[in-house]
Amino acid sequence: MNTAANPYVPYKVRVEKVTVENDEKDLKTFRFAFCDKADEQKFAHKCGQFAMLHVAGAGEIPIGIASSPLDKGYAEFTVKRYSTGLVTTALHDMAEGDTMGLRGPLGNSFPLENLKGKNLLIVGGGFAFTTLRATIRYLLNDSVRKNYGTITVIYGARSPGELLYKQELSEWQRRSDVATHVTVDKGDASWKGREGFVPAVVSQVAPSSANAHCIVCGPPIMLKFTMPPLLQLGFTPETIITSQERRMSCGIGKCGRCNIGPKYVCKDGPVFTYAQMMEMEKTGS
Amino acid sequence: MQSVALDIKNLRKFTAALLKLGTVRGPVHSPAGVVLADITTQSDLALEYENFKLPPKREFFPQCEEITRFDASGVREVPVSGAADVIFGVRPCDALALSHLDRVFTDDKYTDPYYSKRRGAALLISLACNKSEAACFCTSTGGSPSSKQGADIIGFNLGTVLLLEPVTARGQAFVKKNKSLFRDPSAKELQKREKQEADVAGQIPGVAVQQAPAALSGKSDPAFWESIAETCLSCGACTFLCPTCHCFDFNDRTKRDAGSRLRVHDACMFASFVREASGHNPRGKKGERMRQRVMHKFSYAPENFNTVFCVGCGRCVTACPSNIDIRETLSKVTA
Amino acid sequence: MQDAEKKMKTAAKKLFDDKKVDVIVGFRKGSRANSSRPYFARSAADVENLVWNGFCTANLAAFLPGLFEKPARPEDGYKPPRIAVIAKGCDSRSVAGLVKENQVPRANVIVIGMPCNGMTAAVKGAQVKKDEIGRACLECVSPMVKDADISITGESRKPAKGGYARVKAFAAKSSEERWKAFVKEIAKCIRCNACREACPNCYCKVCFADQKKPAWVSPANELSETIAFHMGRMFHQAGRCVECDACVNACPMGIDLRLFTQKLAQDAHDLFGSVPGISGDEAPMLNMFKQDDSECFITDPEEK
Repeated sequence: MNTAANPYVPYKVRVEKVTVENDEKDLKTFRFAFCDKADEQKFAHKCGQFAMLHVAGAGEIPIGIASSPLDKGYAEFTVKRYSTGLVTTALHDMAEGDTMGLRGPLGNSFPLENLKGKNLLIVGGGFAFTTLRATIRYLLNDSVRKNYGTITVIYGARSPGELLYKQELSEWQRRSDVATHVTVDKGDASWKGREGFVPAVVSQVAPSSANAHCIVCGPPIMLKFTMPPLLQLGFTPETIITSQERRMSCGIGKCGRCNIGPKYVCKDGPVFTYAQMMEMEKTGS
Repeated sequence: MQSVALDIKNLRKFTAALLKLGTVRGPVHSPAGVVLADITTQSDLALEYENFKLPPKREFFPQCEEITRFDASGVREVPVSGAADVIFGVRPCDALALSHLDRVFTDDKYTDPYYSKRRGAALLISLACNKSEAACFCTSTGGSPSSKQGADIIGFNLGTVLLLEPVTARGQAFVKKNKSLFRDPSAKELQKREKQEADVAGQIPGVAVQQAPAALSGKSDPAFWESIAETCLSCGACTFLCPTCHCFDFNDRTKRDAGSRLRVHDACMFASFVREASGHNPRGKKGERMRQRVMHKFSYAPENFNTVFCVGCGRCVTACPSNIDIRETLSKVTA
Repeated sequence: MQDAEKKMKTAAKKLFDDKKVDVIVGFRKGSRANSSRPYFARSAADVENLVWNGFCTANLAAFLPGLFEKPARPEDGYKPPRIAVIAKGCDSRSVAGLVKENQVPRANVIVIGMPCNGMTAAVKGAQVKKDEIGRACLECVSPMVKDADISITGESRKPAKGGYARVKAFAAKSSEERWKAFVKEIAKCIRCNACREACPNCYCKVCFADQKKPAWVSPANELSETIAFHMGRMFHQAGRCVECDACVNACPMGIDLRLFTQKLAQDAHDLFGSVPGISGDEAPMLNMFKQDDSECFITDPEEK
């Protein structure tokens, strides 16, 4: 298999581990190992990139890479199952040991190289937290952490049971080199943490925008309401970085599907600044 | 480059020279009119026709093709098949369209092996138009009835003589190799060609294409696009017949434990084009889809490729069941 | 014809002046030579653009389900629009079918019945000569609009005798010959869905051909998939097709779909006495069961 020559041929991967992430059991994290070790080198990715997951017979879907580039030996993806979704359903039926296809890494990445020396605010909502998790894991690595200023994480989900990566969240909360604020829309009897929507928590935590950039990912409605408080705090459309999702087929800018205005989410994105997003949305949907 | 003349009485010899190169596709008479099809004998070639109903992009980017096969052992690439060695008789508008598609399918990062191998395999000989059709507007889209871009050789049918002008080194090499078939054209023949070019170009009415990119950037009012699209049926006649439309989707087809992955043309005018599994549809309205199609050709392409992705062939004008006319849409946009 | 156009415009203008309609679905001049095209007139001023001539080929009933589609988030007090449709016999038969299938509220439709002399077929294939009226019109058994709310008078085409001669001749061939002819015709298809989208009966929110889970048919233009698509679509027309040829006229490849859909129309007529839009059945043919319904199509499909 020569993927360098043919960008449509996936790497063969084996499902190593499946973790059910939430109470509703419609979010699972899949850990894939490369059947051919050489493929792992080729898959070397950056935070914010995505890949196409191919379940033979069902199809392919673009999913953000949830593991850090420094996590060796595997790649992780967190996928929500839709009853109407052919591939997500087939994927959720996969068991450990099954093999499938992985095509990537695709798209651009969060500009972490350019953000060295900056303070970082990372804001996530719902299951759009996946590439942010990759980013936080990467940033908190001993060899990387020293290159950045303060790191503040704000992450929200609908309910305690819907929070992703619960164990890592509590590990991060115990660390002193990252301020982790976890919130839920509505808590339950056992929930002792914050309650409230992400935009409100952003205003309450009020991280300084001085020498800072914000990376924010979440459902469209959360993004819409999070922008005003971020701007209020002094972040600018140029220092707010976000990631977009669209239906895709090829992932490499050929199939003509995922554009927002003149930009392809697969090739020119998925990472765009808020300023770029506003410009794109002026000329298309 | 220097043109050569082929006397029509030597057309069979010329066809034989093409057939020596391998698979030749060209204009052939059929019950449905002249179609682009395999030339198997020297007498197959038709020279009198307007344009093919189906765009020649399909020679390089077929509507449906198998790209990989899979079974329990994994996924394997399917080698490129069906490549022609010569494609003769493509109209200049369609050759121009291919030069646009070249840039989509090969960019700085990814090359589509299926398109590019077929495109690389074929010597493309275009044929300048002797007359225009009612819906033609190539002179407004950066082309003309005799534009050369995209072709290796362009031919001019002067009745008893076919003038052939090499455009690329590859075309030049073919002419050189077969020079015994050709003679130098007379001054009169060259004059005739020039007059024919001017005459046909002169028949073609102008359309507001060049002003469109600038005007479109301000056309974001949903009501404007709904008014253009209200009688749109959301079918794919315009896109499937368009020589530059290249949207596709993948489809997995399985039989027991094995299967294949097909690449299939798709259309931005279909309501399902960007609908996501969650049900969310970023372009759920007809006007949004119409805007996408028009913007892609006349705004996004100029921004990304510095040219409009419309070659004025008029196929969409002729095919639309509701007669939504891109020429009118552009004049409304630029009004 | 010009007289009918004038009368139609007067009636249309009055509807707007009397505030009786929100939109009139009709025709305006086309951009191609000898053509008219669908047009939505939304005000008295728009009425000037309406035309009536020999090129009003499309079946306008196809737009009604879309126009009556309730918005995803209707405003408070949402009321369905009041729509007038400029109708030929075939359009009115389709309206009747859509009403029967609960896709169109009859009370909100004003059918403006036009005198019809037959319409020019859209010339895209090789089967009809230019400026000739289409086969649907030549074979039309009901050019008159029966249930018009407003009737525009004028000279109209005489009803054809019917009898399905062409289908019968085709049916007389061997099954191998018929299959070969069917496949040859369908092989021209490029899967653009124009036939489906132009058909008033194809109003399904999600067509079986677009369903992904399960995927009955793939969108690939492989012959077997294309055959499955057309067979599926045609069979959904049994007892519903009004033989208007909207599909034929919309097809950019000039596929003779009529020969096949008409076979289903013939069966509806011969086996169940149903002529969609004409026979006045209380329910769509396939929604009814009668004790004496023919079963020969199951037990002995080659016999009549």
